[in-house]
Amino acid sequence: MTPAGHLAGLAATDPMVDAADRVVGRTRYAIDVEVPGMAHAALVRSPVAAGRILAIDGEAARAMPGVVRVVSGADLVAAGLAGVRFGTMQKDQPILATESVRFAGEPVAAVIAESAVEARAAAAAVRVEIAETAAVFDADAALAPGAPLVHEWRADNLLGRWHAAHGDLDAARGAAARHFRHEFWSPAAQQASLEPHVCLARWEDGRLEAWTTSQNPSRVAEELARIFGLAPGGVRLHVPPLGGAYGGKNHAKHEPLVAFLARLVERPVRLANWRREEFVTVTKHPARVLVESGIDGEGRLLYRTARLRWSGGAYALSSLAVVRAGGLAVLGPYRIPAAEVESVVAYTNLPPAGSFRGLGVNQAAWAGEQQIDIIARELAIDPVEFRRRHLVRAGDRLWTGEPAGDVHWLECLEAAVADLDRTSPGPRGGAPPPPAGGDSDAIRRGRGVAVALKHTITPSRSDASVALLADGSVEVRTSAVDMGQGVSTVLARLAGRVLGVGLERIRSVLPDTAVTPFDATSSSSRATYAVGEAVERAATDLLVRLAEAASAALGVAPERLTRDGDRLTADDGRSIDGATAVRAAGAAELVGLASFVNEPFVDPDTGVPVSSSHWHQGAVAVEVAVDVETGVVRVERAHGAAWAGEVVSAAGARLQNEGNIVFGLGPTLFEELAFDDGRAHPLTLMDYRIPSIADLPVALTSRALEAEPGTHRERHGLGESLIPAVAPAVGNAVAAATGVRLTELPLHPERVLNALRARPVAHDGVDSPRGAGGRS
Amino acid sequence: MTDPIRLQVNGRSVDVAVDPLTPLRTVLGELLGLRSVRMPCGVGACGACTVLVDGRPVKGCLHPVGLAAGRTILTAEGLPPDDPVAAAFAARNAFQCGFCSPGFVMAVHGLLAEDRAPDDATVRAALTGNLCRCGSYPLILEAVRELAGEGGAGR
Repeated sequence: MTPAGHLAGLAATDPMVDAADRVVGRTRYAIDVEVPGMAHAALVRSPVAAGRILAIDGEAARAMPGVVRVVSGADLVAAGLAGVRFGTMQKDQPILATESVRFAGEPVAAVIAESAVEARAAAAAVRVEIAETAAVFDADAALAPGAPLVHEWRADNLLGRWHAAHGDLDAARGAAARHFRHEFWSPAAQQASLEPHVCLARWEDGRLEAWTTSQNPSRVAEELARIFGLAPGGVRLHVPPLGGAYGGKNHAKHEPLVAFLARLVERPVRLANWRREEFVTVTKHPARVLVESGIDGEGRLLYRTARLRWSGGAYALSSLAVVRAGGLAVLGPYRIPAAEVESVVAYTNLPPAGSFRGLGVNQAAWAGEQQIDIIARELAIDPVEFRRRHLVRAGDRLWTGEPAGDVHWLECLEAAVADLDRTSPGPRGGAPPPPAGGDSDAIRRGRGVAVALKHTITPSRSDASVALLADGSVEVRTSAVDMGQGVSTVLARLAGRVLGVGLERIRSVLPDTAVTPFDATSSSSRATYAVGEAVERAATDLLVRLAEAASAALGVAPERLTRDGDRLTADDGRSIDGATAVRAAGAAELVGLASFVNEPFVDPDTGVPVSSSHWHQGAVAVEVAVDVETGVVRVERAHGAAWAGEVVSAAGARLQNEGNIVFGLGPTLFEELAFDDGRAHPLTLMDYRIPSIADLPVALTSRALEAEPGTHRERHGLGESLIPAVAPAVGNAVAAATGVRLTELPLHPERVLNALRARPVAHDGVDSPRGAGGRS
Repeated sequence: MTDPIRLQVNGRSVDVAVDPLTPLRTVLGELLGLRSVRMPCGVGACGACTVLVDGRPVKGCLHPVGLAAGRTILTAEGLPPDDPVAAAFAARNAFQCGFCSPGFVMAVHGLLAEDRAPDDATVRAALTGNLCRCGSYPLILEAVRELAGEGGAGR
């Protein structure tokens, strides 16, 4: 085989900046970083969900080969750090459990050894004595009076509550001709990055330097400075490219502990989770969602309400954002005259639940978007048509009463449905056709759609600098984390576009808090939007600096210069390129600086505060094949459309959109993290199945919809626009195929089969999402 | 201690003094510093440790190094700069975070050595043991289709 010439051509049109290194493993992740004198840590974890630590006996472990030190809560006490609590949203997590344990898997001790293997072996020899106490594993149980307390300072286990209401709900209830009430359940799941959490820390001259797998280096650096009493510059955090994150690497995890260990033994220390430890480090919130809706005689939605209960686990992580995100999203992007949502997250004795791609909107949409389908079917209205009638359009308000802003759900829905029609052509309103060769008698086919709305974090701040170096190269410096979403490519392109400089001269620098400026977080699908805008502004600022330098070098006023890329030409014909201008200024580099801040604002026309500076908008249409003899659900076709505003990298947009759908199939069809007395299982990727190429639908397409060129094209991130719609679209399709509505995830064969047996498959009269006869 | 085990790794002869039951991945990734051979799962589920032993893909986390004694081992580090499979993955942007990519590239090499023009079903079956959590499968499939098309064109 020889390299194909046309492939080189393809790469030239839409390259990801570091493709050649990534595909052959030359990319260096946090686990590849080594520093001289490095020791390795392994954690000893609580076997029980709640209890008081009576004793930690490290004697046997200390005698084992290679062991440097066994560390427990007593060492924190000695260091005066036992009372420290960390967490971005709620300071509730100890560096290491000292008196109480709050979930099975909570670290209670650490062993430091010369090698990771020795540290593991010795950790297994640490004897832990814990007096087990009563525990609570479910949100409703935790919120009930008299429940065991997860934290002694929180008497009701209430971690967070979000509530909003708009319109005259009593009047709407009174006027409604029909009422609908349904409850849905989403279990815990795990983000399952192939790269685990890794942190390496070292101290030099009282300053802390660490390499870590974090989605928000700026915030984690702040947290470490606070914990260890350092000046802001006293912490230097590096974040190499992440081998996947999906929300799981949001917020501090092991960084405070590893920094403490390194300080204690006066050596660099690295901690890398084993796969099984990932399942107890961060999870997806289990959620129970009750949705009620009422319609009038014409089939119009009069009201919708929802009650969401989230199990937050023992520590907050991003729970406060999750209750709000899910609460805002649960009723959908529809015109609803009266509405109310109460969203509550409880502390429970489970591993901490945190951000999971979709941030709570997945659990919310699984409920809200299935109920929309149920209502449409009850009314014998095509569910696509029912959505068309109710989706907010330009000038409409969301259920919260706020202006919906720049809305495109209808376009997303029509595009996704049209693409499904295109790949599975059948009579409109009729049954999807079986594949060539036909289906077995056991196969039932059905189609389903769903839409999703998700806020983006508001307020937030991103700073950026763009530097032109003396060799003519350009560095884009931000603390945006490169985690596979292609942000290095996006930022380099945006800078290049402003500067008129080719991509081959531009490098996006990885986060290094000593070099790269503040960024709130690489989550909430905000990097392209927020950091991208900051980079464009910084590049624009750099052009001002460049014009000043060129003006001085050529001895002409800036207004007499014209620019072509980074070459400036005076009106007398003399010119200077960027590199020469830098050197002429006697500088190593010229730097442009800028910030982007999105802030909460009050809509000027209505006076109503707006919840999100813009909304992520998406729709998914699927066709499923359900084997009614085995209960196996196969998603055969999946088509998504998300609002992008403007696409910076077509390949990146496609990867993000299609990745949303593929990732979304996991929690829809088979991913579930279960707990037995609070102990998580399964703990391996053999048993915790994530989607493989075998699960890939035979047809999968996506669209990233853009505003008209020449109009204001605000860029939207695409990291999470489609994933919330995947599960409800599949649930709706399964209902269309079989007549059976499943309210609990995942849709694994046992659950599907049990549901089918409880209610035998109808042989006619089953509606498709388009109307009658959606089953073949 | 057991006798050293001789391996041919990426064209070089290497002796390693380890228990023959040591996973091949541990030898390659940790002792020999070949960082492309990653171990996200350790139980043969994810394929990120896929390497070629005498041209056939094996999961390095399960394969005892003793079974590789005297055999020819190829990791992504040993691919030539113009490797067509890597070039196709790069050109198609058939990756996101890239943690799984070297394993996929080696698995595709193993597949194409067996079948130079695999159809989609064959590709899916061959790559089922390699997981990409980012969900880049559509572009991975396109990259392999392209390579298969070249194979089918009679090269």
